[in-house]
Amino acid sequence: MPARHSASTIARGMAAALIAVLALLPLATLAVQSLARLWLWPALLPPAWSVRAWEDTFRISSGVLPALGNSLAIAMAVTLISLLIAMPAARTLALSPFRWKSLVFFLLFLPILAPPLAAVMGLHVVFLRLGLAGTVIGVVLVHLIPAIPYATLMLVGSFSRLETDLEAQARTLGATPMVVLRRVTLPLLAPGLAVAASFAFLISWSQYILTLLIGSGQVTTLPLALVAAQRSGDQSLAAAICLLFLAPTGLLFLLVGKWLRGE
Amino acid sequence: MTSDSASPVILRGVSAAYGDTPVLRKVSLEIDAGELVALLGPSGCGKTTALKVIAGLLAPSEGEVYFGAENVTPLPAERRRAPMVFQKALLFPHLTVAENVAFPLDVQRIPTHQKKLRVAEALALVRLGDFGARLPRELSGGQEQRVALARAIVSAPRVMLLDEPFSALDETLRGQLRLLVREVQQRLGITTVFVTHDQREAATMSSRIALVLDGGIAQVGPARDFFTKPESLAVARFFGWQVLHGANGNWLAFRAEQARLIAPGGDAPPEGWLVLPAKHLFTTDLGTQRLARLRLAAGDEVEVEGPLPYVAPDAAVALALDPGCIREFPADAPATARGW
Repeated sequence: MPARHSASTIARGMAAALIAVLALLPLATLAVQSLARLWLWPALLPPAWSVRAWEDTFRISSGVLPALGNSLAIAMAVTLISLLIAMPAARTLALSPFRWKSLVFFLLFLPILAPPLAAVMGLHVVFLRLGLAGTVIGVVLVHLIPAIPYATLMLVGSFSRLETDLEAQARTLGATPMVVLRRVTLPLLAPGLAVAASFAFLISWSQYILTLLIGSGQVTTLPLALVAAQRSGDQSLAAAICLLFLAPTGLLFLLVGKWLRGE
Repeated sequence: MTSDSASPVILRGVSAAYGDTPVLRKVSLEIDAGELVALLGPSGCGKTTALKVIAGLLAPSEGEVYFGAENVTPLPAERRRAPMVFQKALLFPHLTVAENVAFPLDVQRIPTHQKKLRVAEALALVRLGDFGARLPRELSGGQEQRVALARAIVSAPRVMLLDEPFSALDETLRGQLRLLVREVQQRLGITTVFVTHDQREAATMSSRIALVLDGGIAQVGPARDFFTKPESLAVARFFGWQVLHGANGNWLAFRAEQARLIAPGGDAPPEGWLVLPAKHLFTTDLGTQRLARLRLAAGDEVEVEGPLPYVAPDAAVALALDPGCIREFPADAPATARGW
């Protein structure tokens, strides 16, 4: 049935094109906005162009680059720490039978079930007392609250699919526990780890309200700079920062996309 | 890949448990250097547990494991040089066949040129010389087990442990792999402990069989001993001996192929044979032989195997036994391994 086959191919092509347009249109608008000198309704395209917004973005005095550096440093620290905590937690939850497992699951996911704002209001006082408010360390710690449960949840699935007999096999072949981890467990978990790391990174990267509260305005990350630019009315600068803000998301999904699709 | 490293294996009063469930009870066993011993037994008898204790994957609750003169009980699995081949091949899926076989050498930091040579040698021994570049998912079940075997022998182990490595394969392939394992084991002289629930496999592969029943070693010896002189009623039953109550209350055990069925009007048995009246239940044709099931007056049901005459169901017949082929066990001997 070649006619039917081609009809479904066309339908699928059209659907893909529609999704692409819907996904790319806002990005294209942002790109145009970031390069517009002045873009007022009802002009379909800006009457005049300028790279001023991008120059401002990369000018040290604008504060965008330091915010970008903060965001990167904080998100990477959050990713690393969440994986270090989530891996043993996920392994235990996936592979060890113990009583009260569902209670432990519930407690682990409580931070993402409860509105984080509620918890953070109380935490802010504690952080102030400990001298952590307004510090990068404080912000990293508060980002871990939503990042660890998500990373753990991702890894529980990977660990429950892990064939632990392979680890026993490796040990009888002479591999120490460290070698087993490096040469057997981690490679087998790589897809799950990549996905969990991406989630932890993006959770930290896109955090606004937690950074604002615990950072007390002392720690500026990219979302904070973005909101500041947007509030100041500089739409072009806001658009440029927005594109910068989206870059790692695109990059990560290009890198780990095949694992996210479950391949 | 030489045999100089092969060790004798000695278990001294080894007990082991999973949590609160005891699995092995004071097992003692000596295996010579270069010998292949089969640990035979029904599922759940503890034979795999014994293998894990030797491998170092499970710590015994009491007793010791020696490789030669060395007490290896405190050594972790990775320092025993006792690779195990499991029911599943357990090849590392992210490594090629050659990388899988090289794994034990990598761990020992063997130089690359030497490693390549030994991997090629091991793969050639299992007749997979051209398969080095393949990934495990591109192999058949039999090929996977051969790679697992090559990976186990490549590092000149002190002991090789095989846990029913062919049980997932079809009968033809099992036969070929048994021969291959025997050949490789004899050529390299590796001390080997082979776990199986299959009597024939145990008999064809090993020089000695250790029969494990209910967590203990019931009898150790060459396969022939189990068919000629079982040491207990439980051993006799496991090896398919027919069992009936004797006149004095003791158990009498005999082999179905050594008994005779006397049909109505048939020849009388030789002088001195034990003759017991019985009812013929049914006969199964085995092709070259026939297998008849009889019910004796005391209620015991037994089987007779041979080129039997045709007998109608429910016919009154007689069972004739050569006294020299009967093994007698005391009346209070446990009929099965349970409670032993």
